[in-house]
Parts: sequence; C-alpha cells; structure tokens
Amino acid sequence: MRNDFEMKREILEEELNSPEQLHVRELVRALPDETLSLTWRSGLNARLQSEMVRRRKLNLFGWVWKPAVGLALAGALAVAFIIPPKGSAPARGGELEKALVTHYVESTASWEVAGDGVSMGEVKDAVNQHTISVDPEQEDVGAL
Amino acid sequence: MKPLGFALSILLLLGATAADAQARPRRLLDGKGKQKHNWVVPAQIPPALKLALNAFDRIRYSGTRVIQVKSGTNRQQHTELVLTNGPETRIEFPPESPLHGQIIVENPTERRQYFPARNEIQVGPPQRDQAIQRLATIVARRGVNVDETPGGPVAGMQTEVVSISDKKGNLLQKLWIENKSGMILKRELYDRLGTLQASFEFTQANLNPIIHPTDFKLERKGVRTITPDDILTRIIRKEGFQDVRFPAGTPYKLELARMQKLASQRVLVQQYAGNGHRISLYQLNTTVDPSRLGKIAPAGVQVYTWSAGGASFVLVGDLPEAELKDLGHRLGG
Repeated sequence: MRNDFEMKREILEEELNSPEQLHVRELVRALPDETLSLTWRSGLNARLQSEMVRRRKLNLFGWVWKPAVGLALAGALAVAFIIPPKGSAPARGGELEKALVTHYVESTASWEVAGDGVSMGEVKDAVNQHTISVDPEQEDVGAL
Repeated sequence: MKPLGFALSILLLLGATAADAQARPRRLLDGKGKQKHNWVVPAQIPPALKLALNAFDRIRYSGTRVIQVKSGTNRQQHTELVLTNGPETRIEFPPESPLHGQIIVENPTERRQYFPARNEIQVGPPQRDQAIQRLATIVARRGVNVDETPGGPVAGMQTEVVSISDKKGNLLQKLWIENKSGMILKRELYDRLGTLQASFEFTQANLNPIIHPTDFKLERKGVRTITPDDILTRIIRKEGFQDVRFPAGTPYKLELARMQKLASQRVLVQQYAGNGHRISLYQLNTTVDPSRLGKIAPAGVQVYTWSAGGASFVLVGDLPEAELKDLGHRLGG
C-alpha cells in the first residue's frame, strides 16, 4: 500500500514539473497584482447601507400590511362561511315556504271564483295605483 | 165538425209549443245539445249542477256580480258588470271602482283586457272555460260528495244550492244555481278549516239581455297589444332572472307573470292554467326547504323544487305528483 502511494506521488511530481505546467505557472505569475480601490469599496458600502435602509422600511411596513391582509382574509372567510350573504338566506321558521304555499292557495281560490273576471292581484294593483304610484308588475303582499 | 176540428188543431198546436218550451231546459239538463267545450259533464251529479255545466256554452245573462276574496285576515271586495252570451263574456266596472275604465272581453280562444291608463290591451288565454272545467273536474273526483237542496232566492231568482264536500264531510264549496237557466248566481269556496276563502254573488241579474255583436269585440287602433309572455320576458330582462318557462307543447297556458314580495323575498311568479288545473312556478334567489313545503301543502296540492344557476325554483300545482315532477324535469329540474 505504502509503495503504491509513493509511486503515485512521484508520477504527480513529474507531471507538475512538465514543461506545459511550468509554462502555465509562468503565465499566472506574470499577471498584475491588483488591489481593490478605496473608491469602489466606498461605493459598495454606500449601496449596501441604502439597501439596508430600504429593507428596514419594508420590514416596518410589513408590520402594518401583513396583519391587515390577514384580518381582511379572515373577514372574507367569515362573510363567506359564517355570515350568510344578503338575499340568499332562507327565511326563519319556514315563513318563505308558508308564504309560497299560501300564495298558491289564495291566488287559485281568487282565480277559481273570479272565472273570467279580474283576480284579486289585479284589484290590489288598481287600488295601489289609485293611492300611490307603483310598478304595475309588482305587488308587495309581505309575509302572508 | 169543421170548427171543432180546427179548434182541436189549435189546441194541439199550442200544447206542442208549450211542451217544447218546457223541454228546452230539460235538453240542457240532459246534455243532449252539442258541446263546444272539450271537457265532460260528469253523469252522477245533481240535476242543477248538471244544468249549470251544460248551460255554459249557451246561457245568456247580464248582471252585477260582487266578488270577495280573503287574503291573510283581510277580505277584499270588488264589483263587476257582466254580460254573457254562451262562451263570450264582457266585463266592465262601475264608476266608483278603482278598475273603472278597464274592459274585459273573452271568447273561446282568447281573453282581452283593456287598460285605459296604459293604452294597452293584454291578450291571454280564456279563463272562464278553465274555471268551469275545474268545477267539472272537482265534482268528478271519487272522494267528493255532491248534494243538492233548495237554496232560496238570490238576486230575486229561485235557486237550488249544491254543496260539495270531501269524504269526511268537510265543506269545500257551495253553488246557488237558478232552477231553469242553470245560471250560477252565487258561489262560495272554503279552505280546509271551513273558513270562507272566496265568493261571488250576483246582486242583480237579467236572463234576457239585449246583446249586440260588438259587445264582444275589443279593438282600437293605436293601442299597444301585449301578452303574458311579453310581460314575463320584460321582467326577466329587467330583474335578471333565468328564462325558465313552460314550453309551448304543454296544455298549460301562461295567464299571469309578475314580481311579488313573499316573506321579504323578491319572487318571480308565473301562473299557468290548463285542463282545469292551476300551476304556479316561483323563481327566487334564495334557498327553500322542500320538506317543509311538502308538509305545508294542502291535500291535492303537490310541490316540486329544484335549484339551478344560484336560483331556486318551486312548482306548485293540483296535478298528480308524477305529472308535476315530469313537468319540473322538462323545465330543468
């Protein structure tokens, strides 16, 4: 094992001392030794400082907008799932269902007895038009 | 012998004429005349009611009719001036009525109602035939008892009163029918608890009115003509409802379309009639409880509901359940 290691090391030494490698070493050594200018460093510091100020401002704003967005989201979820939207809530205690069936029963009785005459809805419309101006297509009978 | 023979001939002729005059109402009673309507007068009903149903096509009268309908705890009343010549009718309203100026003319094919304030004639399906057909349908039911007793005078004429009740004896309606002509002089409809729901009564009637053919015409140049379908289309566009209505192929014709507030909800109401049945289609932008509707509906009334596109649809009618359901399916339910 030790002999193998010694042999590989000798091969590496030989390759490093080859003319090609020596030529590359000379080229690298010939490169100019540049040092970073103070002006550039100063500019970099100024840029970093301004970036830090901007970050701080953003973080400070984040304290405001992040909770605000969270609250808004929670509010929206509450509206969607807890508070039913206006106009889509079924009337409590079956009032709507009762009103629908009552409307059918009463309008049918009116129609049946009136025959070729006018229905009570038409009479109500006419009475309303005599007292107040209303949309002829609408009648407010409320919860029956 | 000759003068005696001549006198006998005169007597026979007078007798025959009198017999014919007496038989005329009997012909109506027996329903031997040609029927123009498409419904059948049930055989096993009291003679006065049979007479009234058979007289529908040919009875002539004029009179003043007072109609009363219960809505909630209120009863509303109005008066109509009626002229009838068989299946043709003309209705006007007295000067003190809020409907004064409106005129309704109906024949077997259509009903025209003139609104002077809007300079408009609404043209819809005939309603008198439907109302009589409905009466014939009710008395033809197996679970209904029909009795006849003397009813006393109404509008100065003698009547027979026909009472229609269910199997348990709950009164459904009463009709006061003039003995000879078959004119229905008074009618009362009761709810399932026996409360008077609606009624009409002739306070004055004439069985020999002078009739002119123009009495049953309602035409005026420059008047806008509108149908219930036009009104429905207008409401749908204005209120943003879905265009769901009975297709043309059904026997049920749209009689009325209107916006109505029911339990604080805005509801589009469509009312149809056909074959003596009455069906209402309600469209609303809220949810309804079908099981609750089913429990509230009175006997003989079926309810079918469905939802589509964020709206609820409720179909209510006095049809068999399967038929109403099938109708609902055809409407998208």
